[in-house]
Amino acid sequence: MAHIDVAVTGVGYSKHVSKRRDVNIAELVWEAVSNCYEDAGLKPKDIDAVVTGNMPAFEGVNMPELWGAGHWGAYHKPLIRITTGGTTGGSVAHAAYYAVASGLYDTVLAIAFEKQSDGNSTMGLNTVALADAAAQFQQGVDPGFLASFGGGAVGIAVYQAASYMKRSGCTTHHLDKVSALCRNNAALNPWSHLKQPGLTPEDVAKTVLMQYPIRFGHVCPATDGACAMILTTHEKALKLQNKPAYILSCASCSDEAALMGISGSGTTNMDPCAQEHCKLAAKWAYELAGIKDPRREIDVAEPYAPFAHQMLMFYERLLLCEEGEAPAILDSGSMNLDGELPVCPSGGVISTNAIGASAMERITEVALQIMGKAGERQVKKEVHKGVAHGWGGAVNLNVVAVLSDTPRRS
Amino acid sequence: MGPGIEVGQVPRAALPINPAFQWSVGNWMDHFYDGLKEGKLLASKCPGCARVYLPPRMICERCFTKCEEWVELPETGTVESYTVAHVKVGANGEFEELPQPEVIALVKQDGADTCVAARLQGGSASVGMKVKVVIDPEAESFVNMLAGYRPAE
Repeated sequence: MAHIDVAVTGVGYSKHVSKRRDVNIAELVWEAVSNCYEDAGLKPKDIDAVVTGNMPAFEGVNMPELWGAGHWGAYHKPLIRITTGGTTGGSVAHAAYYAVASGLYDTVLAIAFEKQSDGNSTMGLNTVALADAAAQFQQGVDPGFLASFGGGAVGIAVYQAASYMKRSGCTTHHLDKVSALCRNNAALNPWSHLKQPGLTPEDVAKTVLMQYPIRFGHVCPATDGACAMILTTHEKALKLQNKPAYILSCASCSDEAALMGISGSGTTNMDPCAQEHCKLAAKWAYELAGIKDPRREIDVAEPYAPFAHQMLMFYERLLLCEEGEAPAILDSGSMNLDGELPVCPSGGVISTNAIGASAMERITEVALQIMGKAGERQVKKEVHKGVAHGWGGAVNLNVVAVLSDTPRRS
Repeated sequence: MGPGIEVGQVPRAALPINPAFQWSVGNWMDHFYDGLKEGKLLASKCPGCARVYLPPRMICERCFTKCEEWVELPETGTVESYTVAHVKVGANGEFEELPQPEVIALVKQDGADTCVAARLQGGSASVGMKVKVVIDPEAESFVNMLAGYRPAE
């Protein structure tokens, strides 16, 4: 199969905070795009095509590229918007990767963002699960209650968390430890949202119990933020910098929708923590990347974990250990910044969640770790290969990308 | 289709969702509205290519430069295109006939390179017609401070 080696040659972030009232959507995203051009040493004239994406229905602006194109250097350029829920940023990056890998374009700008403070994300999520929500409303369930009970993201995560804990032996103390690990890492990350240096598992355990087993401290914040990255060919990247990061492979896998299983939009038959499709996407991505033993070959992992249990669950589903082993691996310290296989050195989605951007930020963070440009959050070990993941829909889509310091064919 | 069910009879469930969206106008538009409060029409100008944006934009879409220059535009402009509305969309999504047809014009302000769509008073319009801006600093909502246009003569 023809394949052109694809390098990440620039990364940019906006400020990530809960409410950016000083900028509109296009201007917020411009910050990330502008920083990305600067990081890559490129200008809009050097870009062949632009891919962008965010969640549908969250801001109430369903063609943000209408306003944004001019702000993002996309004037008179090919432009496409992609939106796949929580995985959006991953899907955007994958599309940019395909555009370069196929030989269609040399240099592609990928942009992903969310400005949650302009809209109502819980209502946005309800529109994602429209059929389930409609059935509940018909039964007289209050929309506000529904949002927390099942339509909102916490509602979806709690069943998964309870199921994962049963299957793996993960305890609530492990959940507290995950939050503490991530929020401490986030404190080292200049663009992260929730920085909590010195946070302990005991502090997390004191936060409000929202819905068993999830406490307030186990949940991501709602963030306004944007991320951009520039992908280009191996040859062009080497002219721009000494040490680009290469995307070796991208894979995505969908599964049956499984929300509340009420009205034909899905079933709840399936175990929401099984995530068999994550295992498939990971398997395909490793195969494409030529990785035979991910446990030995992957140096850093950025799973998409807006809820504490998901860091452990996806560590397993990304085939980095056997099922049920992740809690003990967390206890061993291996997932820490100075561990054997650091996880979420960026602080992860549990610390910063500009939803549409989050899955792309997993890729950019692995790229920075490979380039050695992650600053204070740079892991202590040498990084050759890393895995970046995204989770979206309700439980039904997973995206996986494998990155490396060496191109595929060399 | 199931047996015996006609398309029009397939049940539909209603959703009583009333989402609240809030568009952050951003600093550039905020400055524009501050100008309107004082009766001024402020446009942003690209220092790279001299393009003048009304309403103002932070980034010049042509050359990706930050438009950090401001110019105050005269009250006069030219109709570039227009339409005449005979109905409006009512509260239930149905058409309601307007008591008087209303002219909506695309106006290019003198000194600007972009157009503004706004209500034109006077009941008639033509392409090339000269108009003057109507600013209402006391408008109930800040977005209505740019009230529209009226014929120049």
